[in-house]
Amino acid sequence: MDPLSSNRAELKRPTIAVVGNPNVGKSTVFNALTGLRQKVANYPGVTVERRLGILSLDHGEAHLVDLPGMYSLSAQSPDEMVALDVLLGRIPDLGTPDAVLIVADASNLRRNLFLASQILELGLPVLVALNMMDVARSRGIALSVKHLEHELQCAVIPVVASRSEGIGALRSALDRTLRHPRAPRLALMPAVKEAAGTLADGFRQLGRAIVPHDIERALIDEGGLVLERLRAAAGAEVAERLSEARAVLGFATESLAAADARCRYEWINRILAQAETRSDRLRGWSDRVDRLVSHPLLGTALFLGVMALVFQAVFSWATPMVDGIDALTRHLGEFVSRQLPEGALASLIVDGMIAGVGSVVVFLPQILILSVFIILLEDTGYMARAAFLMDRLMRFCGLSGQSFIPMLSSFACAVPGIMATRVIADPRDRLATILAAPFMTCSARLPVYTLLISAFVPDKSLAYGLLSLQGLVLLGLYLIGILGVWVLRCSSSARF
Amino acid sequence: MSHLSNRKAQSASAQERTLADLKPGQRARVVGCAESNALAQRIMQLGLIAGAMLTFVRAAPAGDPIEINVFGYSLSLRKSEARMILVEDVA
Repeated sequence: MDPLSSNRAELKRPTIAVVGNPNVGKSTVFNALTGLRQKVANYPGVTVERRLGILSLDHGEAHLVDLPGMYSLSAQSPDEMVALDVLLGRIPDLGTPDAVLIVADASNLRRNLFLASQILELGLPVLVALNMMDVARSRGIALSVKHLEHELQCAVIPVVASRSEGIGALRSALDRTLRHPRAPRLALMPAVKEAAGTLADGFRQLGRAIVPHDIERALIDEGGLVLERLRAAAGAEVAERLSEARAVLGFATESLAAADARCRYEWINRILAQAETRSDRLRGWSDRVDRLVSHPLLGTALFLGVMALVFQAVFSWATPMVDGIDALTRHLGEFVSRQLPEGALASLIVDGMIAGVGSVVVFLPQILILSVFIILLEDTGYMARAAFLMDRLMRFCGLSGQSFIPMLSSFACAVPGIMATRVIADPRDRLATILAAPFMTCSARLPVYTLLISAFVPDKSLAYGLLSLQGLVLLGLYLIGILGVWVLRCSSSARF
Repeated sequence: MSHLSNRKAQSASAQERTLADLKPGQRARVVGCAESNALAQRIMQLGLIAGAMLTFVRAAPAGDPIEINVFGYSLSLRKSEARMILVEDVA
């Protein structure tokens, strides 16, 4: 049945799932296709974000569902589990997708094709948007789209989503795929597929309906969530049969997971040997910058300089704007209270609304400044280098390298610092950073500390006038905050 | 799981090199993975399969994490993760 037929009685839009590795420009492609017609929600029962958009095509409209970025369908995290559920049609209000759009990074095709190889085996109509063609070109990578289309058995559309190049061709390809759906025939691990089919039949006779694809995943993945879910839903006997099958399928010298990975990369390497040519020039200056930035001495010095700049910016550059907003709030409050008679209404407006909104908006300058820096650092790729340098130190406190910038910013103000934890991919790391951020003494506490110290700590100096006792106590208060994070980490060492 | 015990016996006897033992600039070929868990699977799915050629690019100041180049792209690994990858030197 043609899903785009304009049968007014059943006006149901077809659904296209969008998948891809993290950082391939999936969101950019999604936005280019849907424009403003999108909304963000959660998948039921899990804290995984879902973005749903509406796409206008030549012959009708379609729903676009953005799935979390992932490297493979091995469901080892809630994100990947949800993606699997969507692709297998297990999310009630979405149903089975009518097509899957894979967004791939043309400059990194080898790694990107791993996920593609798994998607192509699902039996759904697929097409590939080859994004970041400009980056590939600048790195001297040439790709044969024709060859890729032949091997992947689907349409491959080169795009540069950030410049909206190729989006029109992508739209037409999506339209064609929906009107003439054709699923690729690919089975890279036929032995596993067969075993899964046999097991599924066996389970059905036991009265348990288990999808063969779930069985495949449960067999291949180590510590996967699919196996856990099957064990919980279908009982220990199912799990036992699966381990037996696994032992039989396992090759003598490697696990099923290793065999699966190896098989896929052999397939990928065969394709790319023909479809991709690289000329190793032009990596030149990027590599030179890298060497400077990651150099143990120079890199660390540069890193300290950059962090000092960010800290200084959030701490002091925002001050005039903060003062301005403060003054504005006060003047507005006074003006309004002069116009209104004293009483509950005046109090509601002045002390409630104006003061309330004002006390939130006053954080805006610091949040904006920090956001600008984070965007700059992330887009130049420096964020990854900074995380690389700081990872070991941060792990000492049970955090990861990516937590460094949020934690540093929290010395200025914890509000933008916590908002900056968005960049941390791992949900546990993110939560740990959010909990640890307020321990970093923020600038708002300084007046309180100063007051208490001048009241209770004698104005003595040590080391012949070089160190002041009051200054040391202030430093001590800062260090106690940092120590608190370490204590927190030690006390919950079981989790880390 | 016979293949696991096989692997463990091998790594005990033959002084096998892991990714963590390499120095900057050295090239190596992946032989296999010493562990068989979710993390190992993730690393293999990123390209560190048996037979893959890689170059050890650099280590962070504290020696951890490390950066390697495999299949033409950069990958950063913690030392604990690198210790799981068995390699053999290539000229």
